[in-house]
Amino acid sequence: MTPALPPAALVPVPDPIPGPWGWFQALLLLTFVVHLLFMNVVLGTAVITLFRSLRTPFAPGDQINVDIRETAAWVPRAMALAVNFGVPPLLFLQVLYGQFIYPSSILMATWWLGIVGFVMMAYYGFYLYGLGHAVLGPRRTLVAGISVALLLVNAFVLTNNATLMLDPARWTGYAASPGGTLLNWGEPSLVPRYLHMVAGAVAVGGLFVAGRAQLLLKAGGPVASGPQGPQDWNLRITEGLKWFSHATYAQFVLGTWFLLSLPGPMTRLFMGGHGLATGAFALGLAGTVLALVAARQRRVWLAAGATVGVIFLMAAMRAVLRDAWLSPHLDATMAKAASVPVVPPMAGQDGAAALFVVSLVAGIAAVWWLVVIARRSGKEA
Amino acid sequence: MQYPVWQLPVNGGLLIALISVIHVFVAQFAVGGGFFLVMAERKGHAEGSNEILQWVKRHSRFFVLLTMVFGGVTGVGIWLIISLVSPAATSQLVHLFLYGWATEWVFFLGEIAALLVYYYTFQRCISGRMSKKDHMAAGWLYALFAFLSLFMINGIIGFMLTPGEWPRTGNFWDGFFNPTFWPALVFRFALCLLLAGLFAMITALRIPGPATREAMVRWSAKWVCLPFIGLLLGAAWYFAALPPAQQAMILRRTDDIRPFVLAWPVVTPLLFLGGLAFFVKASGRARAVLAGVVLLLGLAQVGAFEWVRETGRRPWVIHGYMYSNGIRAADVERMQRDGALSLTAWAGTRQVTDDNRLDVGRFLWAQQCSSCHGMGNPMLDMVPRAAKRGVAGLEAQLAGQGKLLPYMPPFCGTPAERNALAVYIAHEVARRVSK
Repeated sequence: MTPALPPAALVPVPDPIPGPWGWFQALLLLTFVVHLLFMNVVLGTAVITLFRSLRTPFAPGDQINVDIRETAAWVPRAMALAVNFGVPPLLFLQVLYGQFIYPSSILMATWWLGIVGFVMMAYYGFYLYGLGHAVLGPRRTLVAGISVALLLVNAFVLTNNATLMLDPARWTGYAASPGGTLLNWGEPSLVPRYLHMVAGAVAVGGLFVAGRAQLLLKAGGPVASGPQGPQDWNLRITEGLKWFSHATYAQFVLGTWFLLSLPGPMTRLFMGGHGLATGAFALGLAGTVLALVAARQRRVWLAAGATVGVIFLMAAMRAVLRDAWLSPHLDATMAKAASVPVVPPMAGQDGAAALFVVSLVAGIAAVWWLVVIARRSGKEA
Repeated sequence: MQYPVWQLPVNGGLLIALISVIHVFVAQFAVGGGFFLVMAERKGHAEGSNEILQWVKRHSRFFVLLTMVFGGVTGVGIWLIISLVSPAATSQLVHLFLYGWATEWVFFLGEIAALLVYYYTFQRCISGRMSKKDHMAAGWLYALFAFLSLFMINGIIGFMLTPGEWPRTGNFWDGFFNPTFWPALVFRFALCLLLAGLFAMITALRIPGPATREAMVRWSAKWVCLPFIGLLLGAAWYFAALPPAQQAMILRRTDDIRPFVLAWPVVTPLLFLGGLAFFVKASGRARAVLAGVVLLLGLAQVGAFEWVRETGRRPWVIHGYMYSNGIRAADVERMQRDGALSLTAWAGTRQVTDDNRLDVGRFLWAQQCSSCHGMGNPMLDMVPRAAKRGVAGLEAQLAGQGKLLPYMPPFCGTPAERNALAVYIAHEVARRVSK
């Protein structure tokens, strides 16, 4: 049975939003950036760990091997936080764009549900890797390889949904595959977008390796059994910054490919068509150059700061792109929703918002205090 | 009803049930575990027992691995599966309780941060590099945040079964503090403490020193036995707080719920006795076997309770507001008048013809039946139910739903659509029977 109706009719009428649109947009952007940062540390450090395992002959007591393992031990920790910080952006996305994200997720439901398993297996893989060389021995490379492959598949599924939700015209593929196995292969921006995200993650992973070494160098290392002197930490910093720089240089190609693969009007948004998008793009480019220069000068924190700024700008550009892409369907469905009476009417949402804000402030304070007591008691919690 | 339907070889409800029961088991264990860990640590400090502290440390690693990641990821898994199988209901719950979910996320974040700090600083506490006070405070924060997570989720789950005044007022707080909020909280919290004791009994078996091992197994067994009182009181209060319609639905014991209704009063005392047996005495291999049995009983306990609660809601997903297939009560009349196909573009047609009857029937099956019923699959399998009915019998059944059969949602469509669905079901059932 082929859906014969125009794609616009496939978009459901959204449920009423329990607060101002801009407020949820801001929360979506902020929490998504934090999620991206943790996700990038996870994927980037995982990829780097895999390469380091491949290049370094296995020897349990060897300093480099110990450092590889201790760096990899951060992957599952960051993953727990990446999963946690994945919750609010998905929540705010569902509130603002539920009429798009629910259908697109259903069309690729089998893959979408699969991310639960992929993430879990990758977590336990890297947990085992970080536990100790006695646990995995030389098989560590195989385990890291499987875990990285799972994370890469995961990223591909997420990129698929991020593009599929934007284009109801592609939803008609449901007719041929109603079993939730649709992937958005026909979308020209799918592959460049995916590679752009993965390269970004590798760059951040490089910064993480360098930043960790920088911290330990400053603290006067050695940690339990890692590198023994400043020269070792300096080598790690060099290695991390190399990963960062090479991945970022690759972004000039991948980013350009991504930009040009977008539909013409979308590309033009960043070339003067939309003030905010163009400004963010220009600032993002400047920030990227700054980060590269800082990396060349071995100024790890400047490179990291500039990169965080660039990620924020890229996320903002992504939001502009999403709204522009969805614009006709978004406007039409919001107008339809506005014409339908809300039964029962929404009430008590301001008090609920206050509960959220108060708990967020208290939660941040508690987390801050936890970090303080952890740092006070040791150099590497 | 405006969403596409994921047409699965198994029914979506079964997937939801499987992921949910596992998640709830692990998540409730995490809530009770927070309290257990700090109380056990306090005991270790008070007795100056390094052996107890080392055990609590190892036990807390178990929490990092099992509850934080497995629990956290399966929690997201529930969210994903319900949004795939019941998008309309999920959207409603997300929009209505957005701030509730967001608050729950904050508590979950606090829970993770506290647990990570608690676990990764444990050795420093034992070696004196971190004060006992700070470490215990991290543990208490973990317990507090885990409890608050339960507090939030309990309000939203309870809303689905007993929305209370919400359908009239639309007020967030009326929905959240619904009629079963407090009894459910008491019941679930008691269950959490019980499960924490259950797991601890098992890990305590690996304490090397016999004296400490015995002491901690018995101490953990108390955590299974004492919350039992709260569990019974909570269950009775919970049932009494249910409105008559939900009470009747549970007492009616429809087909799929019966084993779980029957299991609960059997499993609960067994769980208690299992805990008691640990407490009084068991030894060697018998103890290891008993540990496995008690653990399975715990899972059965959680499964039975959740299944009964879910089914007590039947035929609603949000009682009185939205049916379990995602159709809002407010839309029923219009769908019966204008047709189910009139409300969705995903069917690809608005009319039933001789050529598309089976296709329309398949779509209506996916839309209105498949969230609960299997077709040749486990859980409310349609094959034995419809095998001898024929098209006319099925049409009569569909016409009576919601009236003569109050535990089923009404069929929402025109007579022609009802016929298409009956033809499709009869066709599929015959195909499977003939195999």
